[in-house]
Amino acid sequence: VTITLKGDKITNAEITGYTTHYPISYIDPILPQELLQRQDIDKIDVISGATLSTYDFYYAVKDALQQAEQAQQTSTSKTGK
Amino acid sequence: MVETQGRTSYEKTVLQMGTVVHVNLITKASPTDAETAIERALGAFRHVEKVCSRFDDSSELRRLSKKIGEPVVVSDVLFEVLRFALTIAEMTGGVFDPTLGRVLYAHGFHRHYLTGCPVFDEGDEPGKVNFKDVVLDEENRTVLLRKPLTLDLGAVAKGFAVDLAARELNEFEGFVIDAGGDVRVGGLNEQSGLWHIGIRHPLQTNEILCTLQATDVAVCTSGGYERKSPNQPGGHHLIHPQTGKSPNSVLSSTVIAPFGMMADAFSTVSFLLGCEEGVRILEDNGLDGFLVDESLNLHMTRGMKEYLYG
Repeated sequence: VTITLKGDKITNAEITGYTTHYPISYIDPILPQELLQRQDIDKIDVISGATLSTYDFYYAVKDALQQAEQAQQTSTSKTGK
Repeated sequence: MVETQGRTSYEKTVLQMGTVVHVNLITKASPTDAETAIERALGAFRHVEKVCSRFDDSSELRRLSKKIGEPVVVSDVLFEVLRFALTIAEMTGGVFDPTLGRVLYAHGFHRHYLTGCPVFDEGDEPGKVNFKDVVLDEENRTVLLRKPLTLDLGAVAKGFAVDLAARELNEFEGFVIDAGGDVRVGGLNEQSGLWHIGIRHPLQTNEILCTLQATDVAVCTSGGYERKSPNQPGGHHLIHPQTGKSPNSVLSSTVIAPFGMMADAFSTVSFLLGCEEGVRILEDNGLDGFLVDESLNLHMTRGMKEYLYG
C-alpha cells in the first residue's frame, strides 16, 4: 500500500502490492475513500467482523503510516511508501 | 516496530486458514524473543490448519473422513476440537453441527483459499447425516464415523488456533491475535490501556458499528456479509442444519468469551438462533455479546454495556 500524506491528512491511499487471492476491484475504491473520511484508523487496535479480505489493507495502511511518520522525523518528505 | 516507554510493538501478518492472520506483540523483551514468540504463535495456525482443514486432502480431518465404520486414533488437536464441536452440537440440539461439510459444499464452498483448487466431498447426501454419526471414545482417543460424512470445523478450528497462539504470547506485556476478525487480546495495548476492538458494521462493512474496550478475552463476530454463497441467492456460509438455509434475520452476532473457540462457536450458534434466543444462549453460558437485526437494532446481553467504549 502506498499512501500520500499532506500534513497529517491522508490524501490518497493506493493498493500497490496486493497479494491475497481476492480481486482488487472488490476492495480497492471503497476503503481508501473511507479512510479519507475517517482519518482515525489508529484509535482502534483491532477489528472484529465476519472474515474479510480488507484486513490486509488495513494493516498495510498502518504500516505505511508508521513508515511515513518515521520518514517525517528525519526529513520533510510528505509521502510514505 | 515502534517504541513506546521501553516497550516495542512487533507485528506480523500472514495468510492462514482461509484468512489474514495478524499478530501484534507489545513487549520489553528482546527482538529475538519477541520474534520467536510470534513465529510460534503463527505456527499454531499452520498446525491447526494442517490438522483440521476441509480443503486440504492431506489434512488429518480429511484422512479421518475416508475411514467409515471403524474407530480411528486421532491427534489431541483433532480430538479436542471435535469434542468441543460435538458438545456444542449436543447443547444446541444440532443447530450447530460439524457434519455440515456436505451442505456447505453444495452451497459452493468447495475451493481452497490459496490455490482455488476444488475439494472433494465424501459422497454423503446433504442433510442425511448429523453430529450423532460422529462417536468419540475418550479413553482410547478415537473417532468413529458411522456413515460417510464431510466434517467441517470451520466454526471452531480458527478459534482453537487463536487460543493455542495466545498461549505463546501470554507471558508478554500485551498482544493481539486477529484471525480475520476472530480476535483475542491480552495484557495492555501500546498506550498501556485496554485494547480497543472495533466491531465491523454489517451493512457498511468499511465502517465500525461500535468499539469495545477489553483485555484477556476473545471476541468473535459472525455475519453473512462476507462469505456469500456462489450459487444460492441470498445465501452465505452460515447455514442452519435443520433448514439447510442461511438465516437472514440477523445481520451479525458478536460474542465476548474467555476463549477463542467459545467465542467462535457461540457467535455462529447465536447467529443461527436469531436475536432473542441468541442472546439467551449467551447469557445462559455466562458469555456476553450482541446481535444486530435487520433494522440495525442491537440486542445485547445484560453484561454487554460494560464493554462498550465511547
